[in-house]
Amino acid sequence: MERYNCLGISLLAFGATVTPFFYFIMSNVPLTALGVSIMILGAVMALTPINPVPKPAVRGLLEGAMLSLEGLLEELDLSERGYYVAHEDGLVYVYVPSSKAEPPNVDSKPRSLVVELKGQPYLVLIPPASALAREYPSTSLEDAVSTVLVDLAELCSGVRVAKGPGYIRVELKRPRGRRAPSRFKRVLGSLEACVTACLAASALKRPVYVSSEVEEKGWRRVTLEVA
Amino acid sequence: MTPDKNFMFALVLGILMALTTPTLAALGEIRLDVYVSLFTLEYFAAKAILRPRLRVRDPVAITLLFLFLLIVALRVMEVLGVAPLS
Repeated sequence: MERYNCLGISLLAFGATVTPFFYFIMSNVPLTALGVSIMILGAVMALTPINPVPKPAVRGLLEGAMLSLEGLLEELDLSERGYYVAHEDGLVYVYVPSSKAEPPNVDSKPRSLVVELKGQPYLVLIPPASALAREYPSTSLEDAVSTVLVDLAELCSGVRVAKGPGYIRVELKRPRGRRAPSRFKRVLGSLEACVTACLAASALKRPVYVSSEVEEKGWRRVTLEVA
Repeated sequence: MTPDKNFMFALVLGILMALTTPTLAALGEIRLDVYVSLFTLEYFAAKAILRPRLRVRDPVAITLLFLFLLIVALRVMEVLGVAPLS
């Protein structure tokens, strides 16, 4: 338990102790209200999660994972768009076809690095934010993307998400992640798009791929196609 | 460095409540339900704007909403003459 949460519990306990005293013994309503406000603030602080890992460290870990995948893609000479698929274990996998292919239709999680689906071989990768998609589930995709990209990794300063038929448009304000290497970007999208696609695949439980990315006046507009 | 919205939420809520209590006290307000209603309003307004992420589903919001509905129900009953609040 972090000190911040302990302080919250202390405030909550203090408020819960003094509020009945102010109300029943002193019969003072403003002081009772003060006690109630201390309780509310204490409860909020007690329930607030703390990020024990600094944001630049999270960003550095994601960028490191991106560079190692770039090396693998370069070595295997793969350049087709990858499909983000969420499996029952909560992780998101990327299926990279060796040549242009339809979105993979998979039911169970892959058992090897290369799988063959309908005669088409796919390289199966675990993208940098795969585990984050499992750790940060949310009822709203915008909340999940904002939590991971803005609060956790500080890869951008704001997020807007719009859903359409068969696509999701995500607008990222002031993206500040390291420029993605060319092969990684072609296959998985930029790091921010990769994280977004992971979270979208996890939320929708359907294959997703990064369709396009456009930079415009401090915004990056990422379009994800839902297969 | 982007300020953490969870800390911002606690900070904004603390400032709002710290302003509300002495202001209402200075105006001579002695009804506790007025204070609680304003705290509820401030909580939901700050939550809607800053959208903090909490560990669990928000028990504070549920409690405040329940209290707010209770206060409204008692006021309506008072107006209808069913059960006066004070």
